[in-house]
Amino acid sequence: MQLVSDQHRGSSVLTLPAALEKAAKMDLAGTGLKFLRDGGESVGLSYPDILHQVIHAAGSLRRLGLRPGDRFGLLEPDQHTFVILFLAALHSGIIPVPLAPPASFGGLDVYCAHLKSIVDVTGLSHILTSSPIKRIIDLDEKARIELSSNVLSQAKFDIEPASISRDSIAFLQFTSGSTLQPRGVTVTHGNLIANMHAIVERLAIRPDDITCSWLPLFHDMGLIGMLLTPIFIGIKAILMPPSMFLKRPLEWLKAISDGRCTISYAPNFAYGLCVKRVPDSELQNLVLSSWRVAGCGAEPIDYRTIENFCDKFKKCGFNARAFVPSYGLAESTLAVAFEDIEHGMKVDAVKRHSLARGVADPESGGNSAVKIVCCGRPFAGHELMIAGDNLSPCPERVIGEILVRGPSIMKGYYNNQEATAAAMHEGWLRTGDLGYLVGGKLYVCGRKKDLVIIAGRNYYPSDIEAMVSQVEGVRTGNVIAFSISGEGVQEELVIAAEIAAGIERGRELVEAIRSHLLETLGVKASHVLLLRPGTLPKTSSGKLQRQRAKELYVAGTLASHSRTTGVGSWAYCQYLTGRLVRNIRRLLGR
Amino acid sequence: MTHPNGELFAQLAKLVKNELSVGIELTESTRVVGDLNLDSLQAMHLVAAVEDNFGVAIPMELLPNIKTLGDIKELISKLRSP
Repeated sequence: MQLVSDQHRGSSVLTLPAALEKAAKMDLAGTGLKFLRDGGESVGLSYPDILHQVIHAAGSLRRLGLRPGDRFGLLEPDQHTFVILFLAALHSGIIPVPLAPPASFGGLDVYCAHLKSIVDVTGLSHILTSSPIKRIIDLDEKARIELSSNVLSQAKFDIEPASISRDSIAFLQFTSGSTLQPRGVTVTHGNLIANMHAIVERLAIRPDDITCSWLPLFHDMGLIGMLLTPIFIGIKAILMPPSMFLKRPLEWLKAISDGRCTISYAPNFAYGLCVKRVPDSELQNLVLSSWRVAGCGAEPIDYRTIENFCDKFKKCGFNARAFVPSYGLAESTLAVAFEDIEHGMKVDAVKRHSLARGVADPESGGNSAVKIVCCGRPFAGHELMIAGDNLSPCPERVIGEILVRGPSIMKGYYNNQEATAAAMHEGWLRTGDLGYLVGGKLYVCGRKKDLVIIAGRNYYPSDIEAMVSQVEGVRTGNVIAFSISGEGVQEELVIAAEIAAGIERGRELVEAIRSHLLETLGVKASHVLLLRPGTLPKTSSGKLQRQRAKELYVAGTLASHSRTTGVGSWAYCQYLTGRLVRNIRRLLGR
Repeated sequence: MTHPNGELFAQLAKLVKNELSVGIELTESTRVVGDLNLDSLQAMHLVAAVEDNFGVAIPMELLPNIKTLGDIKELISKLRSP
C-alpha cells in the first residue's frame, strides 16, 4: 500500500491552497468532504466542487473590500459555510480569524466582551456570521457584521490568487489566552505545512483513509487535524457539528461505524462521555473495527478513561492498539508528539512521593503508583527538551518544563510582543507544561502555567477570579482560582475568595459564586472556600500567590466553609480558618 | 397561565428532575444554568433530553437567549406549534 506521505515527500506543495488544487485535479472517487447535519440531510462535496466554491467565495471576500493581509472574523456555525469561507480567505491571502459561536444557555455579556477584545487585538474589520448570531451579538460597532449567506450569494467576481510564501500568515488561532486578554497565535503557511506533513508521516496516512470528527472548527485540533490535513493529502473527511456529539455521543461512534472511518481524534473527556452515555443496547449496532487511529489530546489523558472505553467497545470490534495518545498546543500549530501507531496506550507507573521532588521514580508494584500516559516521540524535524529552572536540559526521568523548537513553532502572538517574549526563548517555545522523558518518549505530568482545563476547554484563573470578584460580598481582587486533580487526572476547579467582614450568609454566597461562574464562563466550581480578609497568601508587593494557595489547599490548611465539606457553623469555620492560616504563617516564619 | 402550558411545565420539570437528579423545587423562573448547577456538558444533555421527550429540534443558536425553565417551556410550545 502506498503511503500518502511518500507521495508528498519532496513534493512542491508549499501551501494549503496549492494542495486543494492538487486534490481537485486528482479528483479521486470517494474523496472530498461530507458534512453531517443534526436531524437533517448530509451534504457531500468532491474536491473539484470545493475548489469551485472556494474560488467563487474568494472573489466575494474581495468584493466585500477585504485585501490580502486584512483580517476578518469567521463566526460561522454551519460547517460547510465555514470551510468554504476559510479556504477562500487562504486562497486570496486574506487572514481568517476563526471564532467560537455562542454555544450554551445565557452568558452573552461575557461572550461579547471576549469578541470585542479579539476585534481590538486583531483590528479585524468584518465578522461573517449566521443571521441568528447576528441578531444576538452586540459589538458596539467595532466591526461590521455581515451575513455569510449574503457574501456567498454574490455574483462571480474573478480575482488573481494571492502570491503566498511560507512566511505568509495563514490564519490567527485564538484558543490560547484568556477571555479578557485573548492571545492570537500567528499560524504561517510554513507552520501549517510543517505540522500537517509531520502528522501525515507519523500516522502513516494512506489514500484510502477516512477521517471523522465532531471537533469544533474554530479549535486547532478540529481545524488543522481533522479538516486541513485531510484536504492537504486529498483523502475523505466526515465532519459533524460539535453539538451533535455533545447532545448524543453515540452519533460520533455511529458516524465512524457507518462511514468505515479509520482516523478520529478527540479529547479525553469525549471518550469518557461515550462510556457514560452510549447505551449498552446500541453496542450491537456499532462496528468500530475500521478505526485504526483513535487519537487523544488537548487535555491530560486519564488511563482509566481509555481503559474503560476499550473495555466497553471491544465487543464492537474496537482495537485498543488504535489509541494514539498525543501532546500539542496551538503555539506549535497543533501537535508536538504522538505515540507510535498500533502501540496503544502505554503507562509509566511512578512513585507518588517522587513527583513532589520533581522526579518520576518507577514504582514496581504497590497501589500508591501514579500512572502517567506516554505521549510518544516528538515529530521529525522538531526538537523537544525538558528544561530545569535555568532552562538547561534535565536528565531522563527528571521533571521540567517542556520546550519545543522547529518549523511548527509560531513566530509569535499576533500584535503582542510582551506575550511573545515571555513564551519564546532562543527559538524554543516554552510550553508551560511539565513533563519528563524516558527513552526519548514524552510523559506529560503537570503544568507550570496558570491554566485550568475542564472538558477540553481552557480557562484562565485571571478570568475566573475577575468573575468571582463581581459577586456581591466578595472582596474585589482578593480571589484565587486554581485546579486540583479530581478523580484520575481530570481537573476540579477550586475558588478561594476573601469576603467582606460581617457577611453572615456563607452558604448563599457559595451558591452565588457557583451560579455566577456557570452563567458567565460556563465553568463549574467543585470547591468554594470563603476566607476572612487578609488570609490569602500574597507576595510582599501584595500580589496574590496562586501556587502557594494551591499548596496550602492541598495540604488541607486553606479549608474553611464550603458546601462540599459541609462542616459546622459558618462562624466557627471562619474562626478555625483564621487560626489555621495564622498558624501556617507562624510556621512559615512570616 | 393556561392549563396546557401548566401541564407542559409540569412535564418539563419532571424531565429535569429525572435526568439531572435535581433536588430543588423547580419553577418557571428557575435559572437553567445557575440554579440547576449545570456545566456545559450537562446543559447539552438537557437539550438532548428535551428534544427526545418533546419531539422538537432546538436550534443551537437560540440557546444564548434562554435563561430560565420558563424560557425552555415557551420555546417548546413555539417549536411545537404548526
